[in-house]
Amino acid sequence: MSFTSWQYALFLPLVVVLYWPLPRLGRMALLLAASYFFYGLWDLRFLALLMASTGIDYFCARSMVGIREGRAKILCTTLAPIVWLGGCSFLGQSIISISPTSLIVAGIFPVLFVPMHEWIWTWSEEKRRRGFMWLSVLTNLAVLGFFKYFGFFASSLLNLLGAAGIDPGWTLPHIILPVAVSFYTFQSVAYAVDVYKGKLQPATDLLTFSAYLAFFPQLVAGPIERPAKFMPQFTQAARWEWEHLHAGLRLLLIGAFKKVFVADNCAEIANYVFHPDSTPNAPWALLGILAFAFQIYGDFSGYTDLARGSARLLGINLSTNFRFPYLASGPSDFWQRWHITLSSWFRDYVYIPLGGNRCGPTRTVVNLWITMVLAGLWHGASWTFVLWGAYHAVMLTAYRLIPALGALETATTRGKRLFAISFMFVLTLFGWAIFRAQTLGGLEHWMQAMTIWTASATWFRAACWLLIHILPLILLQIASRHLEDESELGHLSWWSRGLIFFALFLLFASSSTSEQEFIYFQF
Amino acid sequence: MHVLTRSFLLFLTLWLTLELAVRFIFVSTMEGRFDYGYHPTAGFQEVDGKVNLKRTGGRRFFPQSFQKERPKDVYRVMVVGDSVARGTSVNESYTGYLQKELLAAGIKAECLNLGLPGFGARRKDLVVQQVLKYQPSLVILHVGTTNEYEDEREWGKKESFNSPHPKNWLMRSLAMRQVYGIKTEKVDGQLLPQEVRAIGSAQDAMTEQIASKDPEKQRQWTQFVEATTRESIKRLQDAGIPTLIVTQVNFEISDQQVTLDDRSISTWSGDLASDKVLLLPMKSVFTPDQARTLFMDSAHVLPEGHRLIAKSLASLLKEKGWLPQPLQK
Repeated sequence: MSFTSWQYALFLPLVVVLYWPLPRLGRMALLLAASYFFYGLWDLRFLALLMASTGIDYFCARSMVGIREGRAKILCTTLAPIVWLGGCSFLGQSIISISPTSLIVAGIFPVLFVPMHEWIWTWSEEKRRRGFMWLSVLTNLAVLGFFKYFGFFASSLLNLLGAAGIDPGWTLPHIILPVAVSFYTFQSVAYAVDVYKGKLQPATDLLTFSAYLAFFPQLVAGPIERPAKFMPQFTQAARWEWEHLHAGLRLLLIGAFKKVFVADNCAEIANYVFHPDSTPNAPWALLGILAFAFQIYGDFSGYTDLARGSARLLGINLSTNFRFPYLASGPSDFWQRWHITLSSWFRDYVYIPLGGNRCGPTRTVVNLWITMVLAGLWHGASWTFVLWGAYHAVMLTAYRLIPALGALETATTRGKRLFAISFMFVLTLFGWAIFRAQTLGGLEHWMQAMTIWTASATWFRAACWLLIHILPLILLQIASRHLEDESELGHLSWWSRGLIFFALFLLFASSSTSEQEFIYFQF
Repeated sequence: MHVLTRSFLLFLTLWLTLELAVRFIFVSTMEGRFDYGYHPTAGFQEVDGKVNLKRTGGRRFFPQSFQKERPKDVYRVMVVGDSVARGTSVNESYTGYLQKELLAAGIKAECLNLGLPGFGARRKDLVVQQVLKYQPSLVILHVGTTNEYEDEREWGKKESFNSPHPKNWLMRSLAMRQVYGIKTEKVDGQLLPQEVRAIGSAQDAMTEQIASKDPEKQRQWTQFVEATTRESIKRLQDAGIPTLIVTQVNFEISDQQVTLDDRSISTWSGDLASDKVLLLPMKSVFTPDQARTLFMDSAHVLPEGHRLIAKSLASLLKEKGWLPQPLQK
């Protein structure tokens, strides 16, 4: 169920209306049921994975602070995935197929987890705390690694062996990437690490934790929330305020406009330029990458606004994920404006634990590279994403090592700042070409197009068309000018807000009959 | 803090104002929107005794006008068909060339091009029903089998849109429909290049291609075209309107060998001929060798091809004595 679908337009108000009159635990039960329903509409089978992840994280975190749950409770919780898959297999044979392997893995899960849990409890306190933290972190990363990267690395190895003339005769299994796995595993890792570090008390009950991890507005594509800020909003019941409704609807409207009017329309040009059968020239290639820059921004920031708006209607505040990213003056600034919750996650859970910038310039650069290549790989199992991460690592390194570039990023005079922003925007565009190409062949196709400087009869019309779809977003951003939240319009007069809402609604309606999937759902 | 903020009230007021403005100012152009060509009167705008053919409601007529009541001395020919009959303009379609032929022969002819791209038998029949109201002296019905996929698809869209399904709730607002129409027809239609749109509709084209290769589907479509065409002809005959059927031919080339394939229309269209129904197979107008230079793709012919069809039509009408007496010079 996509946020811009008619199903969601019915689903969300229903959940909101049922939610507010309930006591806290009732709300948690409703959120859990709604979230599992929301997620299950993509693929019922992957709910088992979410259930398993929930069980592991919950019991490990409790154990880290010395709370030992009863064996029966652990067993019952860890049996949930096999019960779910078995039930689907038995009752839903006609609509879904459950592979025997999935059933075996789900069956083995409690057999492995319960004894391991008992065994780690026999360790000394500090060792036990670390043991549970690693059990939670590694299990989540293993799930992510298997579903997202196994096929990629295995096929890369096969290609390498094939190039060396070796045929191992392997047949790789077809592994489907579960929706949202990249997001909720990262949130789980953050939860385990923060509880281990004592930054957060673990959830007191399984229901609250399950609702927290599966919270439907941000389950599928973030923002990747920090448990210390996010969990208390579940453990304490929010009070109804009209502001929740007003802010929620404003965010939903802005998000829908960004996604449906800006992103989905810009996608037309980007898809044409990057289509394997098209033969663009350089002006078209540039137009295509400009279109993609606004497509991905409109798509993901639109998704974030829709997620924030949905959560706000339930009295829950989600983090901002974007702050005018194309006004960044350098790569470091860019990552403080683009997908902020992911970049800060990598900063706090990868870059800083690696030593950050505390171990000398060489080690800092190495840490930067490791972090950025992993961040690239997080976006998808493809060499172009690795290359995109490396490209950003090159930029970060250059801005760090070349004093003139470093000074440019921090420039305060208007002229220099304008140049810094323009320069960074061009660099960002080239990065998007790597990102959008999907394959190295696709990137080569685009780069070849950049060498063909011929006239095109239809280019100008297409450029005007693209401008029509970008300009309202730029005007909206000029109107908001709020440094902390680019979707905030509270500083404007009531009539300006009314006019803006109406204009955004008309633009949304003008493109509302086509529905396209969000880009970040595939990550 | 109240449930309704002033900005929200302004938003509602603007929407309501626009809704009323559209309802009272633009209502005549809203007809048939989201009926995908299935609205009975869409595209036929009657104003002060005149009928304007408009591009609206899924019917992309070339803009033309005629008197609602046909003057007694006018020989009115109405051509109902698809994109092949439509051509690239009225003047360069066989409708336009036929008018020139008839005028040159001294006949006060008024030939109207009612060709609509993508229209199959079902939607052409709806146009035929409309045409009956305007006293045509002759109706030329262009029959082909290549648009049934589109007819079926657009029927599905029309049915879906006109259902009470929640996904259509927003477009129940006339203002929103108008905004959507402006965006898709004026902004996208005029600025977004065809090659870009083609990539976007590649999936649809693929689905059509798959359906077209299915022999069972082909058989069903052929049967449907036959049955519907018979109904259209019966309607025209019941109204006493002379009718001429032009049957479509498709240009195919394989190993330098050209074939003109009418997709089995000739097996059943012959039965329709009578003293009030004439038949002109396109296959009889061109030789395969001529076809090489006359077709722009597998179905559509270049203006020169239209001119030849018009010539054949004029000859046939003259030969059968269907044309009125020329005006005295």
